[in-house]
Amino acid sequence: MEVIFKDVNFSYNYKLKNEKMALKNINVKLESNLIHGIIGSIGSGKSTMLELMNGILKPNTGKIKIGKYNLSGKNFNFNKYRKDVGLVYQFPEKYFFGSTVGEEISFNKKIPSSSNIKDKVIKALKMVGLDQTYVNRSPFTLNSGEKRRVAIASVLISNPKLLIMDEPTIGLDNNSKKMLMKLLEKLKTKYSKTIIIVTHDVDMLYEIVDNIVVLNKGSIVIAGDKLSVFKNVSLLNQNCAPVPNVVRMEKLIYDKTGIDLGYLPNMNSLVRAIKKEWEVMHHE
Amino acid sequence: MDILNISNLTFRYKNKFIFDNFNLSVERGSWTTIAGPNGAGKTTLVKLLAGLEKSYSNITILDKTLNKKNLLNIRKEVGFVFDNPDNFFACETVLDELAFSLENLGESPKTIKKKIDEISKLLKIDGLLNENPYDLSGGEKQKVALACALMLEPRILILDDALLMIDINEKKQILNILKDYNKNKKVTILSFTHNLDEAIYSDRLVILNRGIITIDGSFPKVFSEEMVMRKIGLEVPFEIELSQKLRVYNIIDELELDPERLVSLIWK
Repeated sequence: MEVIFKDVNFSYNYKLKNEKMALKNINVKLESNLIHGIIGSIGSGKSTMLELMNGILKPNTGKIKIGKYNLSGKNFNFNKYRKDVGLVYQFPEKYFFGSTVGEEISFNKKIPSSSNIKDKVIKALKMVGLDQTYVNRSPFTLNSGEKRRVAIASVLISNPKLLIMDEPTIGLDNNSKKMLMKLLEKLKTKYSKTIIIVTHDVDMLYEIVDNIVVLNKGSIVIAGDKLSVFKNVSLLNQNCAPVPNVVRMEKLIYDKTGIDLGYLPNMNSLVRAIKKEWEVMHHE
Repeated sequence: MDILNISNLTFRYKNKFIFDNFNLSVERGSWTTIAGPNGAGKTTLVKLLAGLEKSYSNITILDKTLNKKNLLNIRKEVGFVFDNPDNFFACETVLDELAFSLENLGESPKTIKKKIDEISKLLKIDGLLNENPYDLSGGEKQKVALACALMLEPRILILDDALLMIDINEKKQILNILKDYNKNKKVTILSFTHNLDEAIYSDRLVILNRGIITIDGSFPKVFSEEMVMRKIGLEVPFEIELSQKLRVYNIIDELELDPERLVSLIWK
């Protein structure tokens, strides 16, 4: 599902005294079947953009089109939209209420009496890497990583084409985080989902994302594929946007030694590149 | 001298033991970081210290046993900041929120105003005083929650992943402010986290896993046990992980936290 923002402006106190723009003149196109990241410092407008895509807020001026839905239009059907677009909030497990995982996941499909729904629950659990033994467990006894995956499964059961996630890795330890990242990649490649992630966790984002939108003070600083965006370290620094550690280190090495290590997708590739340069240096 | 002491703590949720005969003491004026993966028992421990969960053991804070009778007195001197500030705010503006606790204790408006001025400037939330706390972003909310705790001038500050939503540049500033509180105002800090970047600021690092202290000591000592850390799934600071990996290839000999020095070590 494609997301298009056209000349979008939004303010929480629109046309009131001291009007403060939360988003200014946003023009961006987020293409289907990719993972998109939205980053920026505190108060840059990330969450506002997310609430607009969620359909809870309406733009003051401008248009938002997501798939076939015109979110700013008068005939916008929120119920239908909800089925195609899944939203995973920050700490989604805090909203658990079902006494079993099955009940929790099947909530928007009613109680799992028919086997059809039970199958769907199991399928949703499988998508997040949990087996069917979880169906009858209480969601409150799971660890944070498992809880997060159950929360995602409860969104996946209605088979949304677009997933919007607010800080999906927040509060997770390293192992749970890695598992979640693999899951998101699988949702993109195997299940053809479009995923939009709003996050501070750029190190995680850098490994899995295709495109990045950088916000500062309500405007887009730069948007595009991750390589072209993260090449501009000084622009990101100027706009208080976080830079992935691998990229930051690579820039530091370039500044101090003049050695350009090229594109490094993660920590291991950085280690390999340093090793290679180090061996060349000691061979000479 | 110990400011906080936990001895022979046993705690369970139904049949699941979280702590079995757990002991920990925290020295007055120190900054101790307790780190561990999800499910280590961090949040349970914070809840026990806050009196939100009942234990049948001996927890002593500021020489008082933690029980129903002493709880309110202890809470006056211990500031808590939790990970999710959404369940925390009670007032309509940040200003009221900051004034709330001191007003309840009968402080004079003049003193309260002075205190709010000082702390809101320190944490750079002075521009947010008239906003509704629920309209703020996650990081701003956490800063307000921290400011509320500092308003009471606590002798112990207990942070439960309290800086989780604050982005990295600002986090450093706040950690430095806290370091200043710790060193100059002698506030004892006990912080719970699974992000070891924050641990660099503390004097002592305790690694908790499944209710048991796995490693306990100074920062370098703990990081030398890298295999243990990796096994229990803790997020090690980037530079430490990089130097650990480079050390395997004998490119460097020691662990280095400072990125510039790390580069100099490689290209020396």
